[in-house]
Order: sequence, then structure tokens, then C-alpha cells
Amino acid sequence: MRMRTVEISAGAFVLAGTLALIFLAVRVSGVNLTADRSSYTVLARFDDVAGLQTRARVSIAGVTVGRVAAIDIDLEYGEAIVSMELKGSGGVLSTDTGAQILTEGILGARYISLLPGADEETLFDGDVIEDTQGAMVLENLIGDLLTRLGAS
Amino acid sequence: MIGFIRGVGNRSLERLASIGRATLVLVAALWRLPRLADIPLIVKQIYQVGVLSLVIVVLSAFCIGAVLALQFHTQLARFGAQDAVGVGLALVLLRELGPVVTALLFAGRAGSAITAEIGLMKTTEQLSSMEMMGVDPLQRIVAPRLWAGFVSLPLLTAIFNVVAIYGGMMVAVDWMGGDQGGFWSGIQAEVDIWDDIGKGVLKSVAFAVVVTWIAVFQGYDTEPTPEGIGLATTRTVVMSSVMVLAIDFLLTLSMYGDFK
Amino acid sequence: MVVFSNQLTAFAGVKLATSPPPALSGLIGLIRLIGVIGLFGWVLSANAAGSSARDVVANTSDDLQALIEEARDYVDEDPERFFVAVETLLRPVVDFAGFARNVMAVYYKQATEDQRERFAEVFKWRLVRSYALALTDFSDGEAILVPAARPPRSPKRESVKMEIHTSTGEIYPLVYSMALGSDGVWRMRNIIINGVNIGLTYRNQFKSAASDNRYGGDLDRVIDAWANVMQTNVDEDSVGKAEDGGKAEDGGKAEDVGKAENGGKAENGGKTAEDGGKAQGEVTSADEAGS
Repeated sequence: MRMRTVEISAGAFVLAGTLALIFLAVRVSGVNLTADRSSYTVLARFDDVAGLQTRARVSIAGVTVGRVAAIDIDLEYGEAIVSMELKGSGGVLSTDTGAQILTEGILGARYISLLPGADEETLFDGDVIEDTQGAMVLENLIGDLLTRLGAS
Repeated sequence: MIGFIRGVGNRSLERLASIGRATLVLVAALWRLPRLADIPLIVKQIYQVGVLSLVIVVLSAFCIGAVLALQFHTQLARFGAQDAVGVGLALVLLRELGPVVTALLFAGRAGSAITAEIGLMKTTEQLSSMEMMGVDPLQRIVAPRLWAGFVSLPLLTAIFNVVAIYGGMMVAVDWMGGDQGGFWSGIQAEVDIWDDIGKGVLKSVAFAVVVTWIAVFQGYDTEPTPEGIGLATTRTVVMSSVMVLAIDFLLTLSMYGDFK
Repeated sequence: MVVFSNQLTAFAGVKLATSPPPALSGLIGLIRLIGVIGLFGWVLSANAAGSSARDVVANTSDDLQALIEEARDYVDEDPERFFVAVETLLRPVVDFAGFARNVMAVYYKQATEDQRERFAEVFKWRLVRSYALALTDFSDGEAILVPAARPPRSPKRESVKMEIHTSTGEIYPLVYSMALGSDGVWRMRNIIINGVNIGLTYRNQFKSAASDNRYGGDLDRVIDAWANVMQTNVDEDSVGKAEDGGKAEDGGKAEDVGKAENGGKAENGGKTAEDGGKAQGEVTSADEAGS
């Protein structure tokens, strides 16, 4: 086998492999190299975040505008504190924006839906969303109703 | 009874000894990073080990990707969630199947070839004559193959993943009538470059070290007989496969642990 | 508790254009029923050393208890008088305008001054009527103020937590979001009943209605629809109550159904009344379930 052919094909192979890696990194992972990478973090306190995981979607009217960055607990008040990383640099959502934990489709992944409010002031990095609705476990609600009706 | 225990003891000690020898070989071969003069050797080995494995890797990738997409689609359609085929396919490939299957294919094709080659050199006394001429066979024969293996397997894994995803896409979109935009945007939304791709690359590097090391050592350590070479080659494939799967299990646990 | 199902209909929720599943609206109704009791209920152990927000809640509860006792005589014949009395009592301590603004959310900015006021009025009366009716019916349950649900957000906002302990042993948590007005008075801005954020729930439904094609984005029509729901609910309940200590006879229900057919949607046992037969059937079964 000619050395030249060997070298060329080995080189081509390495090139192809590297391109494959780059393709995976850029096209498959959805890493956005060019666009605005700025983001700001907003906190929200929930009484129940059952099923919500980090990296869950944060969306407004169905459009993804960020991800859940972290979920912490406040043991003193028994609440969960969710940190959301939102695209942009703030100044878009009103301070009385509401945050609800909803369920996505059939497979049941939880996500956060933001409902913009009426305030003039807006949320910036580090602000807290006050108006929240935790995850509603439907079975519990139905159970409550049946208990009430049964008791009466 | 005593004989049995003695046998077990002997075999265990022999195992330990071979692990020791393997480590010595590895260290002796790698302690010196490749010099400029060694590059041609490494390039040749990359050809032998990487390029010649391309065919089997690409074909398997396409078939596996297509089959996975098919199976996923069937199962997810039961829940009306067939749009999740892309995401499931990509995650499974990037995290698990890509690195593992490529490593297994590599062990079968390139690993056994390395073992056979080195074993033959040992049997035909080429290695000892090299030593007598003052050329260190570890540097000249073993090291290039090691480096080539370390480089080739991760690249092969990347190629495998890409081809498999495309194979899956052809099934999910062209054949099953899925939505191409949905397929890709779903993948891009859920695949994380560090969590999924990065860890997959890490796995492939770990597998590369393990498979190439086993292949090289089995060849170097073989009994210098034709039967010995045959045995060594088999042992390479078997041991590589088992180690790859075992290490995959451990790596997965540590990488994606914290299962709720 | 036969009339319970009747009351369920009163609170069964703001269903305008898009309805949550029937069971859920019935549940929301139930939950609000309970919650309202908390809002206007009896406080047995108020923390007197608490902040003024808590005092406002405690005092209002006491005042309402007195009002209910006094109103027992005339409420059946003249429910309107009772509603007005409740509204008068609540006006100084509930920020209905703020609550309504919260519900309108982004649409508040688009709305004219006139629309904002109109919605605030409609919204207020809807709340007042629903809750006032529940009050007269619900006779068991203690309301207990408990330590704060979360740290005070700011000097001007605070959450006051209360628990309703029913005679059957259930405990329902309530959280009142209180806001300090510029006049130094604490008023209720939102309420969270058993984990359900009522303001957000209403906000969602307002948003659905406003974007519903049926109303074509016309806020006036949305507000009208909101008002109609309330109106129909009220008539049903008055009639239902007038029958007798609450037992729902078929005759009474037929009238309800008649009203349900025109104007807005009406809930019976939580389901939308599309036609008379259907509504009757469902109410009957709800009654059976209730008794």
C-alpha cells in the first residue's frame, strides 16, 4: 500500500471524525454560538414543585424563554425556591408576572408557564416572582371533593 | 479439593501477574510522548485502526439508527408521543449506544487485528530481533498503535453518532412521515453539549484506552505459537467487550447517578 | 348538605369561553367555598400580637360573623340586601380594584379607563355574591390564623395564613396576600385556597376569554360575559334556596335550567348546562352524591 494513500486516508478520517464531533456539538446540541447569550436569573417561591426538574422549560404562551436552573428548599417556611434562567437581559416581564407549574402533554413533564401582569416595573436579574401556583396533583383534588361529598 | 484450591490460587496469581505486566507495558510504551519522528508510524496505524474500521462503523450506525427510530416510533405512537423519537434517539445514542457499540465494533475489528499482528510479530521473533538491534519494540510497535487507538475510537464514535442520527431521521421523517423541523428542534432543545455530548466523548475516550490497551497487551503477551495467537485474539475481543460494558455501567452510574 | 351541590354551582368558577373540565370547575368551586369561609369565617385563635395585616384579617372575620348572625332573618327573602351589606363591610379591607387589575394582567394596559372600572365592579360583585351565599350555608368549621406562610416580601406586601378546620376533620390552608395601600391601610389583593392561586386562575381564564374568537378580542364583550355568568349563578341559587332549607326539587331546577339557557354559561353540579334535560339529570345526581 502506497504510503501516500495511507497518509491521505488517515488524514481524511481524522478530519471526518473531527467534523462529526463539531457537527454534534453545534447542530445536535443546539448550542447557540452567535446569538445573544445573555441571560438573567429570576426566582420564584412555590408551595409544591412536585415533578419539576432542573432544565425544565420556562415558557410564556407556549414559547420557551428559559430553563429552570436550580431548585432549592426553604426549610423555615416549607417552600421551594426555583431559579429560572431567562433569555435576554431583563426589563421585559412585569413585576407582577405569575408563575405556574403545568404538565406537558401526555408524558407529563412539568414545566413553568409565566403569565405577564399589569405592572409597569419589570423584572431584572435577581428579582423574585411573587404570584405563584404550585404543581396541582389532580388526584388529591379529586380525593378532596369525594371526601366532602361523602361526608355530607 | 486441595488441588482445586491450588488451581484457583494459581489462576488468581496469574491474573494478577498479567495485570501487572499489562501495566508495565502501558507505562513503558507511553511514558514518552510521541516525537515528530514517530508521527508517520502513528499515521499508518490510524489508517489501519481507524480508516479500515469506517465501513463497519458506518454501516452499523445507519442500521442501528434506523432500527432504533423504528422501535421508538412504534412504542411512542401508543401514547401519541411520536414526536419524541428524535429526542429519545439522540439521547440514547449520544450517551450510551454510540460509545458502547462503536467500542465493541472496534474491539472486534481493530482490536483483534492489533492483537493478531503483534502476536505474529512475537511468534516470528520480530520483536526479539528488534530488541537485539537496539530498537525498543514498545516504542516502535506498541506505542503507535496505542496512540492511534486513543485518537481513532472517539472519532469513530462521533461518526457513528452522526450517521445513526441521520439513519434514524430517515426512518422517522421520510418513512414514518414525521416532521423534520420537529425532529431537529426537539433534539436541539433537549441535548446538552456537556451533559450528553461531552459525557459521551468522555466515555469513548475511556473505552479507547481500555480496548487498545487490552488489544496491545494480549498481542505482546501471547504464547509465541499459532494457537497462542488465536487464543490471544479471542481473549482480546471477549475481555474488551466485558470491560467496555462494565466500565460503561460504572461511568453511567457516576455521570448520571442521582436517580430519584 | 344537600344544598351543597347548589352552592357548588354558585362557586363553580369563572367559566367564560374556555372551561376547565367539569370536575375541576366543581372542585374550584368547592375549594373557593371552603376558602371563602376562611376569608369571612370565624377566627377562634387570632394572634393578637401579629402585624396589622393579620389584625385586619382577624377583625374582618369577626365583623362578618356578626353580620351573618344578624342577617339570618332576612337573607332568604332578600338576598340582595345581604350582598350589599357584605360588600359594604368588605369594601374597606379588600382591594377589589387591585385584584381586578391583577386578573386583567396585560389587558389592563390595553383597556380604557371605563373598561377597567367596569370590570372591577363586575369582578367585585361576582366575588361578593358568591362568597356571601357560601357564608350563610356553611355552618361548621373553625378558622385559625397560623404563622406566616413566607417572609414578608417587602414592607408593603405580606401573606397572612389561615387554616380552616372542618367538623369532619379536614384542614384547608388559606393564604391572603395583603398589600399596604398609600393610606396606610392593609387590604387583601389575592387569595390562595388549598394551594390554588385564585388570582392566577382568574388571570388565566381572563386571558383565555380575551383571546377567544367568540369575543373577538373585544374587552367589553369579555366583561359582559363575566357579568352574565355571575348573574345566572345568582338567580339559580336564590331560587334553589327559596325552595326549602336547600333541598333541590325538580321544579326549582327546571327554572334554573331555564335561566341557564339564556345568557352566558351556568354550572349545575359543575357541568355546563347545554340543555334542560342534561342539567337536570346532572344536578339530580350531584344531589344524590351530596346527600
